[in-house]
Amino acid sequence: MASGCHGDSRAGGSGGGEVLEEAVGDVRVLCPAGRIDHTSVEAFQNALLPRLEDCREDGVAIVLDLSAVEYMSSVGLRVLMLAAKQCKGQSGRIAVAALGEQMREIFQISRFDMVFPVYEDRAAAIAALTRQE
Amino acid sequence: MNAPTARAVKSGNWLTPRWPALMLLMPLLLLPWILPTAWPGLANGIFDLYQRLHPRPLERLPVVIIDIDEASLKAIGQWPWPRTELAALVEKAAAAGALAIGLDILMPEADRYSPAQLVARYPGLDVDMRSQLAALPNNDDLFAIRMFTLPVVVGRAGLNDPMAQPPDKPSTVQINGPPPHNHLLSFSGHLANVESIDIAAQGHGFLNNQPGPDGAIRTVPAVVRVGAEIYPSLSVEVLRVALGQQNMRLDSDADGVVGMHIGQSFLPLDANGKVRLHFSPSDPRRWVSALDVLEDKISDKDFADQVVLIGATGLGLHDTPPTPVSAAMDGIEIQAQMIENLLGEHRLVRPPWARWAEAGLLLLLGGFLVLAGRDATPWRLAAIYVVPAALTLGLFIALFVRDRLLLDPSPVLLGNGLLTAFLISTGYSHANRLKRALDRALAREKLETARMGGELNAAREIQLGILPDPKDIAGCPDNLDFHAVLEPAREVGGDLYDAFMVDDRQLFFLIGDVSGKGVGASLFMALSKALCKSAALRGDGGLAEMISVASGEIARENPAMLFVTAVAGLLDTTTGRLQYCNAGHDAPLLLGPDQPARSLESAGGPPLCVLEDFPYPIEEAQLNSGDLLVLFTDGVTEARGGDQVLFGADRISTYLQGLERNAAAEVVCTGLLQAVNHFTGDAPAFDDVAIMALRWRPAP
Repeated sequence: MASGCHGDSRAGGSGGGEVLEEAVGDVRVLCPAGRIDHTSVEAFQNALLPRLEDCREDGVAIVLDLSAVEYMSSVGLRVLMLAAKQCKGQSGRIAVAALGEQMREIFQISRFDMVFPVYEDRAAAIAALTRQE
Repeated sequence: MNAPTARAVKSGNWLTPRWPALMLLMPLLLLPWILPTAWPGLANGIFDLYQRLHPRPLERLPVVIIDIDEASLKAIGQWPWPRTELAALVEKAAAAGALAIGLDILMPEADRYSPAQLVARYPGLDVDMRSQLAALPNNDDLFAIRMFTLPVVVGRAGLNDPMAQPPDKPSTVQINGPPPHNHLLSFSGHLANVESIDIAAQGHGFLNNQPGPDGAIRTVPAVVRVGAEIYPSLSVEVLRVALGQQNMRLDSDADGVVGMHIGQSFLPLDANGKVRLHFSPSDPRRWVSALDVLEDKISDKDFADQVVLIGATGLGLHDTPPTPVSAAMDGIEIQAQMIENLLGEHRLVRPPWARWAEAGLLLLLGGFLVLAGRDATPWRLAAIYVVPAALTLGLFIALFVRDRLLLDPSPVLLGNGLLTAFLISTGYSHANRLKRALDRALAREKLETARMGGELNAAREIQLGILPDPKDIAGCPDNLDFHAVLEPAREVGGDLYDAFMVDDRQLFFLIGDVSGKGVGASLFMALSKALCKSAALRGDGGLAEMISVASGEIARENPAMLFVTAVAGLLDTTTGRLQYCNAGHDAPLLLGPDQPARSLESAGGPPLCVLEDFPYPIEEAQLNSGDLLVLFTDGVTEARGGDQVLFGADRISTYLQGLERNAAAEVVCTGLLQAVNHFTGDAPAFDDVAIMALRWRPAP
């Protein structure tokens, strides 16, 4: 399995807001990239939230692979909060995976690691979220 | 107006529709060819106007009309007269010196006053009377005999009747050049006079005229085609007889007729063998009553060097078509005017280059309109049209008066009129479009300015207005040195701080950051601060309950789904015991007088409003004398240097290590703010910067 949606060469891309998508079984892996701050947050929100609509108890589970996200300001965290609230409201499951060093620090400071289950890498996240038959 | 708007308006002017107008001008140049066909009345109307403005002056009277008028009919008897009366009229005219006498009268039937006709008419006459009368010569023969030696030209009428035949005698017109037959007014046959009269006459001329579509006579044929031959009209034939010539020579070329040679004289004609008459008004000097001639009221030389036309106008015997100069003119006077025109030096000329000249002028003035009319107001455009148009009309009238040139201004006036209308209408719509665009741009700018200015100011006022004065915390004991600064970013963020004594010992302090910018964030920040303060002042269960209450209340007032990171603390200023709680915020730094800075780590929780009913854990710490507690927002840690490097927590620690021992809280705050601003340099701050410092010492 590939280590990241955007590949290593593009991991440092400066743009933010685009979100790649990949389905693994009934787990949908979403991969935002770049810097997510006030200039790119609207695109990020518009790309992310509609993809959560079928995150339900009997629907898909969501893994946010943040390996390609360089930085996220508080407005980006707000979108993550909205995502968490939406999935929680729909009884769906959502987790984050593969935090880089900067994102790990941001999650620690903001305690967003208390908002989302955080997995070391996407494989672990997918494994954890795949429904047990 | 900002630069892009100014550019838009300027480029709009440059795009004033000139190319479409020039494109329109091209087909308009065909108007001199199209217009006379599509609307023949227009040019005729204008040429008629020329003639009314400048009718032909009647300087000489080469033609006399002997008019069989009402008075003549009353005296001599009803029409038709016995031809012996006509013979007398012709003889007297010749005696008065007439060079030629043209009869604008047709005599196709035998005179019913002839003696033989009377015998037939009155069968009751006795035999002697009948034979005597029958032996008398008939009137037609008498007329023929009496006119035989006189220069009389009789009329004929061209007919397109299957029974009518062409004349059987040869024409007096000889053709010199390609046959112009197809250009001429044509008939299949003709109506002739009684044979004896026809034979006796020295000339025979056709009387046919061809009115225009509106019934008006503008041209008169000089020659007509009857069958295969070309014959003269009465006017030309009268001139031939007057000049004593046996024949005439009609010059022609590929385009038709050129002109007529009569002896030494050359009369230019139009290609269709006609003459476009330059009319003079009807003039009584041309007219003589037949009765006056018959009663010898004229003298011998009265008609010297003149030609005479004899016709009848009495009792509605005649036609009176309209002409350019009058609503009705007797047909015989039109014949007279034809002869006057033929003999005159000047002729109305529609030169072959006329249409090219009109097209050229149309192009010239049209081009002038399009170029000079650029950016012109409609009134100025109209003036740019009217003035050259008036000059054109004036020029054409002047050329008519001077040279009898028929130049038609209607293509120029109409073409450029259309062009002007086009320019005005497109100019209007263009100007309107520009104006609307400009109005929209200005409105947008105004709105944007108002919105930005108003909103930013409102947000800033809300933010700064609710912050407490750090130097004037009510009830703050002297052993606590407190200070805080907040520098809003250009686009206001949502940083806040607060500090107040909840009782005479405990200071509540709070530093926070709302996720988001603008008025919404500012209002939410104000709300959060108020709710926190309210919870802190109400609560008596310690910090944990304050945070729990505030968090719940803030979450309920949060339609925009914002969140607040915050560190809140409760310091017992007497004992130095500190309770604190971290909701997703940067950890405060604590450093003693001789100790390095360390983070006040805590389990804490996510920002307020992210998770409902989150049980925020409370941490405790014991301050020692001289300990400095520094709190800050991410505007400090995430301030960006020139190469996008973040200021970071390490630089804060480094700064704090470099401080003087026991530096005042205000110095700590302002110094750190300066360090941040120095680090970011000229780059605008993205986020608010808030810094709070507390140095505690035990009360003395």
